[in-house]
Parts: sequence; C-alpha cells; structure tokens
Amino acid sequence: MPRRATLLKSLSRGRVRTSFNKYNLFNLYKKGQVDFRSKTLYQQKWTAKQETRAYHGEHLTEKRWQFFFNPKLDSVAQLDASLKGGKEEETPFLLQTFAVLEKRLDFAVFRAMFASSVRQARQFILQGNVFVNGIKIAHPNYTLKPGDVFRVRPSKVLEALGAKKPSVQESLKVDKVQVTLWNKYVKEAKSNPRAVWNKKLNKYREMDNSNPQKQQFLEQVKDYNKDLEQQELKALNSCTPTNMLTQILTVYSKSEKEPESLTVDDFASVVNGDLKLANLALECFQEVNKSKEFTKESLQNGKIDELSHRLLAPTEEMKNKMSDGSKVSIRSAKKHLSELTKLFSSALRESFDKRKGDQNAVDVPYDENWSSKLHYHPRIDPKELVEDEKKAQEFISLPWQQHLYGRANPKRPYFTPWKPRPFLAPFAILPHHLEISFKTCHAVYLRDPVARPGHSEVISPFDLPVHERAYMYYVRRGK
Amino acid sequence: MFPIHGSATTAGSSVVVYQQVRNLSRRKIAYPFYPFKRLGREHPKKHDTNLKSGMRQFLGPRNYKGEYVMNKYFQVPSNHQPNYIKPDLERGQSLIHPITGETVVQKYDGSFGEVEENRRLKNMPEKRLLQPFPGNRNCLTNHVISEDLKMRIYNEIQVEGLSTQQVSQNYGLKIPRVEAIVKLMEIEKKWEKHNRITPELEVMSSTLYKMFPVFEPESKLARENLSEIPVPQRALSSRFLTIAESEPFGPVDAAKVLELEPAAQTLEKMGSIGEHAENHNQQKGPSNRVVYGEVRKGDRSVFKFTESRVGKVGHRYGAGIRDNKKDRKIGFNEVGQMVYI
Repeated sequence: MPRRATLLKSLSRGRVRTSFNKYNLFNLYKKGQVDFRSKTLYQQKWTAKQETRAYHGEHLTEKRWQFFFNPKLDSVAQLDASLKGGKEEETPFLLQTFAVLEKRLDFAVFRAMFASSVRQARQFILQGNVFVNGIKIAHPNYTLKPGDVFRVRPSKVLEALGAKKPSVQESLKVDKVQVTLWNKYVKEAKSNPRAVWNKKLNKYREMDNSNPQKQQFLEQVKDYNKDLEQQELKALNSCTPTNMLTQILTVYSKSEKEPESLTVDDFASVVNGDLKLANLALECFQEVNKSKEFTKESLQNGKIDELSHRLLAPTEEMKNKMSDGSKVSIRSAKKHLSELTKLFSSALRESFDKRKGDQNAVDVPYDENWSSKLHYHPRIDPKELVEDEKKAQEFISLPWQQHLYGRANPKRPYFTPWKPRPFLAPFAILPHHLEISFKTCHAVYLRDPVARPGHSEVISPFDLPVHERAYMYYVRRGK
Repeated sequence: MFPIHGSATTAGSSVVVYQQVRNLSRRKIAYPFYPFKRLGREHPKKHDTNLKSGMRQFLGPRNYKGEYVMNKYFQVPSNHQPNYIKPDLERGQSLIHPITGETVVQKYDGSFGEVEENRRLKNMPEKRLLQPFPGNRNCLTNHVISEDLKMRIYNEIQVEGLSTQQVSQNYGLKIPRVEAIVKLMEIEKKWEKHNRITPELEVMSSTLYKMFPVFEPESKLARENLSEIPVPQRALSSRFLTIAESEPFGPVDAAKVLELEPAAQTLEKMGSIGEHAENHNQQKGPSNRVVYGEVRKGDRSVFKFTESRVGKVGHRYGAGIRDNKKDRKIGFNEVGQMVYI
C-alpha cells in the first residue's frame, strides 16, 4: 500500500514532489536553499531527510524505503581524467543516496515522461498499461535490469502529457467568447481593412522568432511565395515570340474590325493592360498583316498557333513562294516581336515581385479583398447546445476550429487536437540512464544511474549538502 | 515554564507568578524566498492567504481558455532550448508579455509594465540552461538524438555491419545507448509498417523533441565520456600495506593488492558486451540445445533431450527450501507474476 496522498501540494509545507502539477511548480519555484543554519546536527539530518524523502519515493512508507536503501553507492571513474588536464570536478557520490529507487518500474515510467507523476505511473502499472520486454507487469516495485525495454500504452502517455479535456459545458463557454471576439474582429476588419491588416502584421513583427504562431505565419508566407514563383515561371516560359504572335492573331480573328481599324486598346489584353507594350503589339500586327500570308477567314478556320510558327520559321518551300515585300515585313515583325517579348517578360517579373511577401521583414503586400472573405459566426447559446454535443459540434465553424474547443475527438480522454499540458517545460528532463522513443512510447533502461565528476544521473532538486545529511540519517541504523 | 516577575505594589514585596507558556510549533511556513506583494487587511470571510496570493502573482492572469499565457513557463519551447525555472536569477519576475516575450511586472494599480533587462538572465552559462533545478548544479538534462542521427546509426549497424564500438567512438555515445537506439529504431520501423504511429503521437513526439537540446557529436559538452568504468566497491575503502621504501608501487600493483583487474581490462570487457559488439559470440535464439533420439525399427515414441540447468528445472537435491521463512525473497517469473524465489 502506498502512503496516503494527503497534503501533497500544500503551499505552506512547500515540499517538492515528483509531479508535473502546477502547485508543485510553485512550491519548487519558491523554495530557496534548504536552511541548515542554527540547527543541531540531528535537526539538519532530520530536515534533509524530510525534504529529500518528500521528493524521492514520497509514496513509499519509511520502512519500505529503508528496505531498499543501500549504503554502497554506484559511481564511475574516468580513465582519461589525467589526460584532460585542468582541475577535475568532484564526484557527487552522495547524490546517489536515492539511486536505488530509480530502478523501480514506477520511477522509470515517470522519468521516461510517460506519466505526469510517480503516483500516476503507479496507477498505469497497476491498471495493466505497462509492459516490460513485452510482458505485462502489474507491480510498481518491479526492478529493472540494464537492457530492459519497457513501454506504456500510447493513449495513456498522450493523456498524461496532454492538456485536460474540457467538458461540453466548459468548451461551449470558451467557444462563446471565441465567437464574440471573432465577430468583433470581422466587424473591425470590414470597417477598416487597411488598419487591421497593418495591425496584424505589426503583431507578427513584434513576436519573437521562436514564437510558434510567428513561425506558422512565416511558413504560410513561404508557401504563398513558392506558389507565386511557380506561376511566374509558367508565365515566363509561355512568353515566347511564337506565343505572343498567336495571341495577337487571336485578338484579330476574334474582333469584328478590319485590320486597319484595330487600335491599341484591342491589344491591351495580350500584355496585361500595359499601353506602351500594347502599342508595340499593334505595330507587330501591322507588320505581319503587310505580309498578306493570311486572311481573317483563314485564321478563323485554321489553327493559329501553327500559322504563327510557320510565319516565324518558314520552310524553304514557303520562302521561295513568298514575295520580297512580305519577307521584309515578316523580318521586321520578328524584330518587333522579340523586343515585345523581352519587355513583356521583364514587366511580368516586376509585377510578380511586387506581389511576393517578404519573410525577413514579415511583410505581405496588402490584398484589398481580404476582409470580404471573412464571415460572421452566428452567436452561441450554451444552454441550448449543452444537451446535444453532436449538434454543438456542427454549429461551430470558426476558421481555425470546426468543432467544440478541445473536443475534436470527444472519445479521447485528453484535449484534442493534442497539445502539451500547461507548465510541462520546467519538468521536462531527459534522463541519462534511459533512452526513450516518444513516437512509440518505448524506453530502454540503459543502466542504474551513476555519479561521475561534476554530474549525477539521479534527478533531484536538492544539492549535495542535503543529500549528504539524508545519507547520514539513513546509515546510522547500521544496515 | 518561565517565571514571570510581577510586582505587587500594595504588598510591598515582589510575587513570583508561574504561567505556562504554550510551546509553539517550530514549523515554518514555506513563503517564497524572493520578495512578493503581501496581502493587506481584508474581510475575514475572504479566506485568502499570502501564499495563494503569491501563487497568483507567480502564475499571472488566467485567460478565458484557462491559460496562463503571461507566465514564462506555461508554453513549451520549440527551439531546442529547455525552459527551466530560474527563480534565483529573476527574483520572482516570472511574467512576460505574451506577444513580445519581454519581462513585465505587475504594478500597484494592477497594470503590467516593462522592467529593465535582467543582465543575469542574459549572460547565463551554457550549462545553466541545461540545469532543471536551480538548487542542484550536478543534475543536467540529457541531449536528445535527432531522427537523422538515429537513422545513420541504425544503418551503420544493421546495413553496413559496423560494430557498436566503432559507432560509439564515431559519435561519442556509450555502447548501451547505441544498442538501445538500434533496438528502438527497429520498434519504430515495425510500428510504421503496421501504421501504429497515430498523427497525435507524431505531434507529441515532435513537440517533445523540440523541447530538448539536440545531441551533436562534435559538441564537447554533449559527448559522453567513453573511458568511464564503474568504481569497484573495494576501491572505495582504504587498505593499509607495509612495503619497503625502495619498492616501486603503481596502479597495477594497487589493483593486485585489492584483488581487482586493471582498469583498461575492465574497459575492454565492457566494450565487447552487447548484441552488435565486435567479437560478440553469444548465440541468438534459445540457448538450451535439443537432441532427438534416433528412431529405430519398432520404437513407439521419439526421445527428446532438452539441455537445461540444474535448479532451473525442478528441485535441486540438497537445496534449501525457504517456503517456511518469514522474509522470503521475491522475484518475477517469465509471465510477469510476482513469485517467491
């Protein structure tokens, strides 16, 4: 039987426990050095024992722990120490006082971060979720040997490390606020799109580069630029003299006007509305028209791209057929066309560059229609929706969330889509005596934790003087 | 009992009045060691304490989603730089601006204002960043091995057939760790093949991967010391020996006196254990040899002889039976049940 779990997170006691709990974090945060001043030796030993035992195997009774305690401590010597030169750091032998506990299965499961506290690890083991070398072990005090592979059911690990799943009522309460804030944002964006656009960009600029939100945004900008670059490449590849001529001739074939009455405006569509280039296109057309190699009817009936290819690269047979005048006009048309292609491709490049976002300056060119794509979300009445979760799930369609808050998959016992639990960072310690695969929730017990110069593999919030006194407390019994 | 001297002016002489003093508990309340704002006078029905208020100051305000976005330890890091607590350096200033990430403090009117930059937090040594507990300098987090390096190690051992010693020398990882990486990679591959790695597990593993520093074989801090050997218990106690002054006495002699093998030999031995070691001659599969007897004409059954150790099978003649002892040794059998051994 474990010790009763009373007053574990008491703020006034302020003990540090093996747990990822929020209260435990504050207890750890506010704990200064353990005070040994003006204490007798026995008081010092007693305090040290209290503090260390509250962390190391708090769930074990004193008798049970003393059964495990071994005054012989494991450490390693480094054979290359004398070669390294410099002052060698001291080996913290006595930090190994509680190393024997790390062999226990419940501790190993907690240290591998498969459970959020040793007590939870114990529960996982007792409920048959932990396997050692493929065999289910239901005993938290199972002693691991070097080389043992243990695993925990992934759903349990996801639950232990994930955020808490909200109830339907709680998530509806959150969604109500989210909807209100979203509608407020849409209203503001619709009334003053430019200002909201700039405000949004400014927010990203202020963020630190490591901020996941900013990284996500930059990723979006990158994708957008990539897309534009592909479009640009496609446009530039199709910008050849033959294609340009085809387009010019298509304009002529589709228009009802006579060749002489065609104006600059008719050719504006060929060059994306640039009037200067359209003028050049008109000149091209006039030159080509002079050659009299085609008529409107022949264009409408035949294939235009084949004709333009033939005009620009005539075969020997055609060359012989053509008159000198038409040869001259085609030559000058070719000249005009190559100039037109050159200018148009540079214009294309410029226009694409203008539309690209800048990742370094966190800038995206303003899009005038952006606010019209935003839609208001109907208001939520939690009282009405709380009874029927399915209905509530369908009701919510925010741009970033098409389900109830934290309940994308209500069957799972944790927050979905999965996110790490709050305040995980200060407790996430990768142990030296285990090799962990989080992807499969497997871990290998490499060795019993040891001490080496300047480092102890036993994870403990207390320094050497505290462990020293705790060790003294336990060796006195003459074991 | 303390005598309290009071003087009775009417009687003219002093009277000794004994009054019992209550022995107060010496248990001290664990207040934060850093300065924090104490509560003022308040209605007694409002059961608020200084500790609760201190915790609220530490956590910062809670938003409508129940998140403490202003606390610097709330979110997990995604830049491979662990975010461990540093109360000794920041003196209780645990709040940050949720967007800019700059340190802020709560003012007396309840608003948040920026403070000048903490130089101690800026110039932290590299080792301190890996130290999870401010009080214990000897405890450090390990480095996580990147997916790429794991794959390389796996290929070198399983495909190219290098020995664990070579791989461990190349990357500065201990042999058991290299073996474990290979073992876990095999499991991961198997899981991938059977589609057992769900998207949620992918998200979790990538989140955790980004929280720890990445192992780089070139980094001196991350490389493991491959010349480590366990300190033998006999070497920890002192031994006195009388020798002549002129007699040479070196480490090898000391090993002889302590009846130990030389350290170099121990190190070499440690290198040759494990499945993928260089001169590894441990055979795979079941170790107990099985011999079938020759079937002769007229035999009705086949004889099968299985090799096993005396004591493992059945009861060894002459061995003590401990089932009448009070504190019997406990172990686990092959199917994971707790049994007396």
